[in-house]
Amino acid sequence: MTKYSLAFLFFLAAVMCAGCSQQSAYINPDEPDELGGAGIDSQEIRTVSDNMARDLVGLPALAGASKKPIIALLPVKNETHFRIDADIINLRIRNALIKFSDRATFVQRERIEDIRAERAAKRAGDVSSSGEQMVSGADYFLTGTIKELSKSAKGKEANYTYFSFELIDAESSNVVWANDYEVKKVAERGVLYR
Amino acid sequence: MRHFRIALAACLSAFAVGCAVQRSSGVPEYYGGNRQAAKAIYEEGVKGDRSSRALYLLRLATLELDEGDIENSREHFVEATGIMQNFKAEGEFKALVGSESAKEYKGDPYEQMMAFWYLGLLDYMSGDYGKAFPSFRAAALADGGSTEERYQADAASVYIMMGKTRDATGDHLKAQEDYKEAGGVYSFRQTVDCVAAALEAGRADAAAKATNADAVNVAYDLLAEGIGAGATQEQDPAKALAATREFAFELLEKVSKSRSQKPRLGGQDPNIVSGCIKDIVRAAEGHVAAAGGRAAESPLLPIMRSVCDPANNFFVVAAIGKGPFKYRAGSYGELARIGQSDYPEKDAEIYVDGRFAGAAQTVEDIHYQASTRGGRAMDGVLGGKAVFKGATAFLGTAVLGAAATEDSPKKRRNTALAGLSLLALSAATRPEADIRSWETLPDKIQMLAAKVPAGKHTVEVRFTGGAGQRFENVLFSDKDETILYVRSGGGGAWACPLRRPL
Repeated sequence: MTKYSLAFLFFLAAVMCAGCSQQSAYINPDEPDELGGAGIDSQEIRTVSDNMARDLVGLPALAGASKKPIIALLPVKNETHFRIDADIINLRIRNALIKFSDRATFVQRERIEDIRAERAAKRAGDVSSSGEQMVSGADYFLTGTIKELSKSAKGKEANYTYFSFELIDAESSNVVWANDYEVKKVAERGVLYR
Repeated sequence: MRHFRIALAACLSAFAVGCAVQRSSGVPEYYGGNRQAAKAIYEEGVKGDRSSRALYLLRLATLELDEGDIENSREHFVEATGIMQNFKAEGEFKALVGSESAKEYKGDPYEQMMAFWYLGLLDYMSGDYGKAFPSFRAAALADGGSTEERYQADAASVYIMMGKTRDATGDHLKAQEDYKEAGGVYSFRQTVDCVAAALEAGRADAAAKATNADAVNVAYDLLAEGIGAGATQEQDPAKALAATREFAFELLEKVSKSRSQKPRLGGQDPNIVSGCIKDIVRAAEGHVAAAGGRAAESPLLPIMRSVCDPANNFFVVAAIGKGPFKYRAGSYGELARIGQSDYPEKDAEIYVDGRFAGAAQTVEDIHYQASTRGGRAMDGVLGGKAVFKGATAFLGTAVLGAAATEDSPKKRRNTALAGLSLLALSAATRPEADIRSWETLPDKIQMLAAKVPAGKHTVEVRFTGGAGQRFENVLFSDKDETILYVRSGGGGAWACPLRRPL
């Protein structure tokens, strides 16, 4: 076999093997991944929640309150075609406020049934109790909506995504704070998929 | 000799790029009732076939839903749709150089639409309305993802489910907007049906008088491709017919100027085809006028009213028949065409504890969705490949013939080598269209909404023309909705997702 034929066969083998290897790697959540697309990525989730948390910290209702207000999270409404768990944003805002500002108390309403069961068990004497308390009522609700304008044609997809968050007074229903974030992305498929 | 080896290695690599392991589709086993065998094939395909992984996931998920396994079906639809909407794709180079089937399967717009629709239905049946709504929205966007914008947004079943999801989350105002959109889509479809029937009759009339029946058929094909566009532009059938004619003329001009698409004319003179278009439309105008010139009121309106009625607590989705399939056409199989299967079942009738509860109505025609996609960019690439294949085969033969007339042995050898290389290139060129498709989709989706007293009941779904399905101990609640999915020739699943206390 000549060296040219050998070289060519090695090249062919390398090309075929390049498609076979499996790789995984850690990447920074703020960095884009290789998968492409025009959808909501981790960078948007982190940017939105960081912006909202920073803005909330300076809110007079939180910063100037004589008693720490109690905030409950309401589900974030996802009206886009991206099948994401939109509550990630609310959770990141909550965690940032708890970790870095301690200006509000958050209540856990998703586990309310477990909490009620535990309270009932304590009152029945089935488990020990360190003292009875009322379940805290919320002073404010933190919630949001994600909306979009999307279109696709000839293999291209353009998505304008609008994130809107608000803090609602749980007594009066007044919106005491609101902020938004918007992003537009365009992506294109290869000619094979147009 | 060295040159020969290099040429041989180049040709072998060209072959290798196009070669793929052929796996069983599992589709005959599915429709033959051998579900175990079909499932084994799908599971093997999911594990072993990277380029068709999404397709095997779709087939597996469809079968699991037939078996009532909502959880696994949902999980597999999530995985399949993840691959389908991913902009990165494997095998693109191989598919461009070799066979199109080497590319990673992501489905046509109608398949993406149905994948998201099924996922949304499973989210809805699981009570996860936060995920159901985005899934149905993704289905609506996928439906509009064809190259021809004029075929967009005509999936009534998607808008109905979006409306139901909004109703379930208390957003009744927006739900009404979605139901209105669904009603509008069906009016569009009515116009399409009226124009299509008139053109079919017009073709028969024109063919009876014409001397060139082939030209009439070519003209009809061009008109058929413009029906959706015409109905998008005009709701009145007479005006939609006129708009369809204009789109057909535009298409004729485009096709006659394109080297790769010209074979669609079948060798006919574009001027003669143009005349045939006019003759067909002239004859069709008479049929539209005879039909009253206006599409009849949508038979979908009663089902829309019952689906919107909050008093109804039973919602049935019946998937009927065998879905569309693809086949190859053209001299080298470079054109992918949509075929329609025959099947015995017609309509679904629902009985609760032996009493007739209602007849389901068709809200989606999947063959219609598949066949109104418009052209693909890849069709041009494949058309180019077909031209290249033909040209290199012709040249290679000519060069080989010329080799015999060369005076020196060296020139004869080199010319013959050149001719053989061209023939090998022609043989290695793979212009065949990718005809992988989700054939285990149904052909029609029907829906029904009804009121059933609270408690456990036996539900029977009878398919006219085919065998029925029976579901025992189906739970109904006064406050919540019970959803039943049933597949003709298969099984189904039911769910009462909220199950609030009575």
